[in-house]
Amino acid sequence: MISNPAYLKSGVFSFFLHAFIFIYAYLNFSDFGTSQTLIHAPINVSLVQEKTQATPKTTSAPKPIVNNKVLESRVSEFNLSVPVLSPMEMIYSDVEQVKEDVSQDSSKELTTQYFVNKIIDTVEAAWRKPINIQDGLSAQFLLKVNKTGKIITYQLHKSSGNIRFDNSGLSAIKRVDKFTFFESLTNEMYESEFKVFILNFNP
Amino acid sequence: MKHTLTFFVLFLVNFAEAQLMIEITQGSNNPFKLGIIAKSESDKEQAATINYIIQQDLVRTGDFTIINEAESDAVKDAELPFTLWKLMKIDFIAITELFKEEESGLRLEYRVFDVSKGKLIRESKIFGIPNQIRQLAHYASDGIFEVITGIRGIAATKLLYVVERTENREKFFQLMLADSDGANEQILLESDQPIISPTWSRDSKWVAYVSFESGEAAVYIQEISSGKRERVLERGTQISAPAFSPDGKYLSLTLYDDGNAEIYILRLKDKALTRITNHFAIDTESSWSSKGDKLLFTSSRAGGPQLYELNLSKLRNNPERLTFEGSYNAKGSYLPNDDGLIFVHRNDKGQFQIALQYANERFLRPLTDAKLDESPSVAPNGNMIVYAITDGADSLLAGFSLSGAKFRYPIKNGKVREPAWSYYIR
Repeated sequence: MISNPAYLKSGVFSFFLHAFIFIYAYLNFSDFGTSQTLIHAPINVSLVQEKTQATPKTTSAPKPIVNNKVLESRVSEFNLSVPVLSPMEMIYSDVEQVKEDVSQDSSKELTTQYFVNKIIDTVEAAWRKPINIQDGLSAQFLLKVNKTGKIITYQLHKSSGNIRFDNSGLSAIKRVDKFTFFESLTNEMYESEFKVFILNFNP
Repeated sequence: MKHTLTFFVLFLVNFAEAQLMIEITQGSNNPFKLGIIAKSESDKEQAATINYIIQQDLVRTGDFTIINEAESDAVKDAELPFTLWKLMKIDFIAITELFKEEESGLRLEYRVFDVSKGKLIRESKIFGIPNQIRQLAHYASDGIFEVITGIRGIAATKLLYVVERTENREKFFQLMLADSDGANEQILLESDQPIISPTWSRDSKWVAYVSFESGEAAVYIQEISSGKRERVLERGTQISAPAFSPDGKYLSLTLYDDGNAEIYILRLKDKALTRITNHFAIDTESSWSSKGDKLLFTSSRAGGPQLYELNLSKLRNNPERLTFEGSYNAKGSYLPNDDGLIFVHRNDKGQFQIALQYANERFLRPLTDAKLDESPSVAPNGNMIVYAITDGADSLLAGFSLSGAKFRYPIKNGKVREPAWSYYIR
């Protein structure tokens, strides 16, 4: 049998190309449409109504909202005569503060991280985690946000398999409604990173 | 060339989908703090009653704490003081306003505000008549619950249960209908013979039960609105646990025709019976999946009672065992979207508890801690469960929500058994 080296070469090339495409497709789409597998030890959940108390919030984001801190410190005094800011005033002061903070950290990576942290802070403040659910759940939502920070569309990108958990994420997004600090984003950064992004609720 | 093109297309797809993914890992476990402000120009007493019912409905869900009276007084006269509400760490404010309509009608308007946004998120009107103020309040609380949690509320649904009473040494049985909070009780049927296994059709217009009024067990279906009822099955042997299929055309039930409990399906239009299980062990207490393609039932085929699932499109297959923890798991029902089961579990100490097992888990989660809890029934939103408890000499109803609230229904004169939560009413 006479073999043409050109056929052999193209055969090898074709084999590797197919193998690469197969592995690539497998890695990208293997979890498509499947529910999440949960492997963890049995736990007993007791229904306990947790008392409402301030829990220390741990986030890595800078905390620039000075006005809130001032207002919170006045809660204990609870003096109704204290001049307080209107919601709109609070929003504008928030935006000004963000601009100030961003100008201090001008590298792209740091700035992106800064806005990511702002988003995390905003969503976490709005999210109420359901209890008596499976461990290890996560749900992903795809958000499209306009330049003013208004969430235009949101959709369940990957379900956790638990309707209460999925719903809690959805409610948090609806509650956020708008990221007020988006006005401080440059057009370039908005287009490249924050126009469309995924929120992964992964407690 | 073709492969190379595919390769590039895949890469392009990948780049197109390479969105930023932001991880949300922290959230609050605390209930939402809600302020409810009741206003009325005409009848302040009725407005206060409505306010109280709404509060109780929402607290029972486990998703809310209600601001206290002092806090409420501080804000009720101010004109939408969002900043003040924020300072008080209130998450949402609901303002209800009761109006008298012409011809003695009532109109309840409510508005819900998200305090963090300073924004109105729902405004709605409900119309009713004065003797329906409880129903008006339930509809309002369902609206408030839904707009805040995104989950449909169940305050306006109904409960069905059996009460066994003794008067002048005579025992009698009543099939009762009540609001989801146990109020507005009505007697659907009264008999000096036992009534067992009440259940609802999915449209909440019909109920089915087993009555021994003729001296033998017979299955009846009864229309709630008209009281019209029909005896659909009597066999001269014991019958129990009827359950409507989701389309309302069939009843699954347990018959003892050959002396052993087996699951059958009864077609209501012609009363044709189809045997579903055939095993020397006891098979009983069937319930349907949300699509009607599966039956969950209790079987002792492994020795003690355990829950099994039968795929109705593959009747030749053996039922699949679903529970493995403990020697007693019975009286199961699906959560509304079939992602879990609620059932009675006997623990190592011999205590009967209500337990939850998710579909993708092989272990259970005990949800109650009394000694003798039985007959759980799941609310149509899957968030609340009503069940029967024995506390000393009292047999009464209790409930809990998966969000963490626990509650008991008022003690009745008599022994209360076998609660069944309706589906949505409208």
